[in-house]
Amino acid sequence: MSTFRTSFPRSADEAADALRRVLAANGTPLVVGGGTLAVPSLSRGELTPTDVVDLGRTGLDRIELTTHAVEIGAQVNYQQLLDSPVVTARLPLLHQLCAGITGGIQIRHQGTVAGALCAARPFSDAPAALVALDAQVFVRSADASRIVPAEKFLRGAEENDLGPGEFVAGIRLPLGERRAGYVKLKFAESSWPIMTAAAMLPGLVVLGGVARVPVRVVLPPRATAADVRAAVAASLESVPSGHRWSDLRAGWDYRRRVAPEIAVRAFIRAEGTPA
Amino acid sequence: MNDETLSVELEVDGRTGVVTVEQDTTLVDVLREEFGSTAVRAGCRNGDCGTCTALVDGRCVKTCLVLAGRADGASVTTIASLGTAEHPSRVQRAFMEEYAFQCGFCLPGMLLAAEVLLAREDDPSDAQIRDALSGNLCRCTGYVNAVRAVRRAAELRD
Repeated sequence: MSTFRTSFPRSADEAADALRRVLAANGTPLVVGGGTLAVPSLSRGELTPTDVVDLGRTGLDRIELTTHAVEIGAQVNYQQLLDSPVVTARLPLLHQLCAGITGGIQIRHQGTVAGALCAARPFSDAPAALVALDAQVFVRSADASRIVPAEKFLRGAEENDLGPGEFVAGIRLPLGERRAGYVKLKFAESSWPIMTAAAMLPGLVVLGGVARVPVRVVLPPRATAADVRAAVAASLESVPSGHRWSDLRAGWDYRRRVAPEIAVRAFIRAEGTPA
Repeated sequence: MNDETLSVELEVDGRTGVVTVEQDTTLVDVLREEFGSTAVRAGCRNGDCGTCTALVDGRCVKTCLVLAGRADGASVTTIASLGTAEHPSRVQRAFMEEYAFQCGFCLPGMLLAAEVLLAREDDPSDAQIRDALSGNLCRCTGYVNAVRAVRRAAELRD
């Protein structure tokens, strides 16, 4: 006996309608994007929805260049981004991130940036980088659509801004002439990151895996590596104790101590890339 | 069919079939239980070990992460399509020549990831090879011979 029903909508409209119908029948829906996080949780019985709405056949898998941004559908996977000439040329931070996704060729073909954003795991690759990129999130439901900055969309650890009946249809990444560097720290090839740093120069480093949501560190003009270290250390001192991130890979104190170094590496990488 | 089942049509290694499965079934179980395709192994069911790897419409994926209905209409290629005992593919030959496996449980993921890499890169670096294989866990060989095998396969021609 199946533990849940499934639907495979053919468009964003159909997905929104499927979610509306599940809620109208007092069901509990689960949206599956790439499947790399949700499907194992379903297999283990950790998630027990009445209905799964799988976005795999919605056709939301386009990467489109507009005048001022790159828009990616919810189903765009890491390999598509890695192979995209537009992403390579115009979004170096995202390209660097995709090149280092854990899980080999397979996960790169299955995992999605939109899914990682929705999962909102503080230590994972996407959240801090999307904040650094000023990503805008396209949220859909049967009744409405709205656009939310990634920074607001990430409400807490594994907590996003989606309400009942809503799902992420895509992400808009504004284009800028900024230099970018992405660096993550992990102890083993197959591990989740301990922390991530996304530098956008001039002016910004965003840290993941040090707090429940990404931490934005503003850098002084013409910053040096020493300035980056000092700015990161000062920022982390001001993270309230209830917001500091700690998990089985590392405690807060370790994260606090390595963060300046990881941020400097991202800064140096960004300095080395052409504007 | 009832409310809890669905009909799935697949072409698996050139053989087409339509099966009826429970809606919560993942592709790995459809391939093994309904199509008898044990060239796809059931390992961790968590997306970690890579032994359920197959090419689905040409994409190298872990089939434990795919709900059955998502794959409806897809064409699936497993390692059973790579070569025969008489004529193994160059990747299969290289894995044998370099003693790159012992128990063979990880081979579906190792071989398919290597095939996909070599289809993209004629002459991959060791870093590219390690990266490509990193979605596959092997508990026998320690990966060194697997990397050597992919390097060897790049030199061989089918």
